[in-house]
Amino acid sequence: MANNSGGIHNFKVVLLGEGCVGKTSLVLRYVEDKFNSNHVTTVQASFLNKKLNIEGKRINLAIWDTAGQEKFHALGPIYYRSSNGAVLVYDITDEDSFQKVKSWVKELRKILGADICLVIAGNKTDLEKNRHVSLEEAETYSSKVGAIHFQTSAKLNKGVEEMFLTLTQKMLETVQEKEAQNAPLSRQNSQRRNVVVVDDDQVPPAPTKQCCGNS
Amino acid sequence: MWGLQYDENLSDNPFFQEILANHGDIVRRASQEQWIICIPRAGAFEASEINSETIFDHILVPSATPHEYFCTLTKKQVWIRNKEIVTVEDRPNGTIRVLFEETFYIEDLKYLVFCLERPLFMDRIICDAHRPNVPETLHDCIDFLWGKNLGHVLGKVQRLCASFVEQNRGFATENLQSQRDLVGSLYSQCLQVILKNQKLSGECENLKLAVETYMQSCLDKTLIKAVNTVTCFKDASFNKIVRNSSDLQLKDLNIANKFCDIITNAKIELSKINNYVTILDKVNCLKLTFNHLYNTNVCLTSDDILQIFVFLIIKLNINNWTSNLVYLTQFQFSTLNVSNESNFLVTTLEAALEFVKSSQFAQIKSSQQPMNRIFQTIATNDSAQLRDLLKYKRTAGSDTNLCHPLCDCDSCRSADSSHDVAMTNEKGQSLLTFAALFGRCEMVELLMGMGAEVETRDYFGKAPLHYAAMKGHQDVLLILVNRKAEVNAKDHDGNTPLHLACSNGHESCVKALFYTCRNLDVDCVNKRGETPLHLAVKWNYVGILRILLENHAIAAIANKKNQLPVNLAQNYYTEKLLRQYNKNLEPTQEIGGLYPTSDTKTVACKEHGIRPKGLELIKKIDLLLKAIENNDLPLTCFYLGFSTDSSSDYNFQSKCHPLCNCEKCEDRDEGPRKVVDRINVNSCNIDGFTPLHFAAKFGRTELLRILLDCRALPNLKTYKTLQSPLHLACIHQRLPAVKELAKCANCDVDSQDYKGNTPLYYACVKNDARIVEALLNNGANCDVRNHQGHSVIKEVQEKRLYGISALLKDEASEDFL
Repeated sequence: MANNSGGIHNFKVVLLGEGCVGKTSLVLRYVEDKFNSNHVTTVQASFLNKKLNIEGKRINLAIWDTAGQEKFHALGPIYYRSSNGAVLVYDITDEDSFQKVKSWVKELRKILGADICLVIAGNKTDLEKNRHVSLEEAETYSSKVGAIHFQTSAKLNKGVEEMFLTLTQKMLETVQEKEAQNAPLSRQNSQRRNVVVVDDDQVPPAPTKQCCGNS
Repeated sequence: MWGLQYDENLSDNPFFQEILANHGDIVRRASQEQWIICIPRAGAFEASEINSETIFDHILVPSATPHEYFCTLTKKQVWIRNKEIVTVEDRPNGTIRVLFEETFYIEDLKYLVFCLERPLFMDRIICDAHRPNVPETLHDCIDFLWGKNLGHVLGKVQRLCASFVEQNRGFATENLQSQRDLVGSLYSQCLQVILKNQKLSGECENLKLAVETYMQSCLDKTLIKAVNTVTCFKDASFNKIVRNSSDLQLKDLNIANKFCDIITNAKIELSKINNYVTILDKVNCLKLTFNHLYNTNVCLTSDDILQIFVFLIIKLNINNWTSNLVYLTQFQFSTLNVSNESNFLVTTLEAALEFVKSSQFAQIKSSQQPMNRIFQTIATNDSAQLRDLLKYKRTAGSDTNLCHPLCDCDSCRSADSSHDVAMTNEKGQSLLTFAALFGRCEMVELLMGMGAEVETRDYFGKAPLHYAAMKGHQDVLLILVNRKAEVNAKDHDGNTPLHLACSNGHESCVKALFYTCRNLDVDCVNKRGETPLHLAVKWNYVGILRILLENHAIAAIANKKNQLPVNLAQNYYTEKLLRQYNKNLEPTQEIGGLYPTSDTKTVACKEHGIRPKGLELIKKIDLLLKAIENNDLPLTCFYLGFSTDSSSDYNFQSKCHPLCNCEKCEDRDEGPRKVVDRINVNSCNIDGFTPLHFAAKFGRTELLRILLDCRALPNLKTYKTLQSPLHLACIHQRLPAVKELAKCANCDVDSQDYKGNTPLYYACVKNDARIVEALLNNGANCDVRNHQGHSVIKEVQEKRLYGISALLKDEASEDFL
């Protein structure tokens, strides 16, 4: 939930994706600017804060890493409820992980509706030669479901910052639109959610603006 | 860094404003060359101190290598370590905390700003009171309020809470929503007290948090118990899952062994969660637990953390996880920010609890794999294979039918390895034990048919019956009981099957035990001094608790920590049940029979028998008493719903199988079936006479023995004459009955009737020397005075009963010597 206390927007962002696609690496690279293939670090990686100031607007990102193993799939809603944004990560060398992203998108749209801003990250572009998920397919799918697609590499620090920045800008837009709508109403209603069921075939309103980082 | 962090809007910070206004070039270069701009927090410096020199001191330029070394624009060396900037090593003021980092994206520029606790390179002592700190515990909150000169408010909050508890006596039985509403309105009352006293300054959030936390500490157990009550049944079913998975190991949950050490520390930390009352402290406990996990060089992913949490929950003796979670999520009113770290901690706990409840978790089996082929057949319920393996051995016998004497082929090897019904695995479990553990009913029957020993014990001292009860296999349990398995057998921890069934929440097994075993010891204590009642209360199993109490479990036995079951009661329901069934329950009361004390006048739980309700029952009791008078033992037993020793064999033996329901068997099954509407052994007629009174009065010694075995209480008194069975036995001169009653451990030989006379008095008056002797041998006191103030000796002398008098004097002088 975004609450604007003391002029600061608090945004909750969840990282979703199959195990071993590099969720933890992405967030560590972004917040701590660290990468280690063995994950040897003393920093806890499952919850991190990042403060941003975009054109004078203060934003506090709370980034939640989630458990990726299949057996924990059912716990998803506990993690992603009341989040403003989600980063759906897949491994470009692993087709299954991309299918998994699709199932997450479906689930998120079903439960959180259009309130949640989505980005889809094809991680591990440093392993380009082993690519199994075509860029075109991923981008087509992303624009179809109203998500922004990024290609990232936590190892080479490519696309990570742009991705989070774009997501933040999008969340900011969403929350401002909402505030404009709710202005005459009581602010207490912010918990209410529009539920929109999205099927793969159904095309939701296309994203209003494609951002710079979409390489 | 947990809960509410220090925060300020840097755009309002004069230091930063100065940089933006007059040093635009620095900002640009910072963007291009990844310089870090440091800003001391507002209030940590004077306006006069802001000049170019100090500003250049606060711009960090990265040096080539290593990564964490920087150089200021004034060419001073610093390095960054663990969110601290080190200017000079080994000096107390040489290290400055980074309060937070903020990345600025302004127009086309992007630069990083650190907000510092105090300025760099300035040897100024900062007074601790000004240090921006966020309360993390109840203690911090109280300090914080005192620090704000709000000490007097604490008393007011205390009084508000006290009157809240007073006014809401039924608070515990309210539903969750009304509990929340009540506490919420109390919170706003408390807040108003503060608001009257203080112009709210910047630390409004902290103030709210402190007030709420103090309020929670004042409500103390009232609030916790109320939440426990609301979640009682959820907790019970959760506990059942946890208890039955307690044998899971690290590897079953895919937790790497490298986490073993940190888990131990985390477990110790998390076990304290119920020592805390306030949400802040509980969250802090979670936080400390997490810190133990993070204090390693091993990176933990969310998967690891979740798995470790699941493991901790299973291994810890905490019985109200659901309640804790509801409390943490539903009763915090002061902060609405759901994205902070404490929320993350609570969410992780929630996810772990949810996982334990899920079907995914139910599929995780203990990796206890049978080593041997024959044990494998039991696990897979392959009776044909088992029979083959065992038969083969039997036919083979000592004449080894090997292909040739040293043959190693499969069939020879299986013949050679000792397959007989008494074989055990590496834990000392026999085949039968193993079958009971897995609840393989057919296997149990098959093995018994082959002569498997029902009383074998494994290395934990557990018999097959223990495992059947522990795992909730009612069918197996019934077969074993029917085959005369010892129902009160104790394992090495002193647990009986009833203990294990109670602790693991298997209501069906508890019922079955009571239903089939008449000599079941309800009040047996294990090595920790716990009765089954303790365990049922501890794990919130209300259903089992009720069964135990209906079967006269004594609630006045303390465990080795000197806790009665009622002290363990976590919620309103269990407490109420315990009090309801044991009206005279006093915290310090102990039952004489189990803890013999020097004081022979131990208080029995009840004075009189159980008064029957309903005309039909009264009639039945009269019939029962008539049967006793007529010395009709079988009829008496029929009414009381138990079989005499001689006829106990009819049980299941003749049935097709122990649980058979065919017509033929149903006819034979009348014995146990009567249990349903049997007469309680301690019920009495309208004058207060129990069966025991009648048995004593008419000298039915055999029945007397059975009654006492079946937990008839020997000290119950009649309504008007207040006579115990022993009185009646003495009055009617029933010597065997007197002996039987007097030697009963918890019998009060000196109980006094309505005239204050003891049984000894009546024995003397009847001039029955043998009875007097029997009573004296059992410690009867001849100095007890009746309501006229005469002792027995005096009465005897007055009545000139010289023979008896001599006996009493002998006794008295022995005492005297």
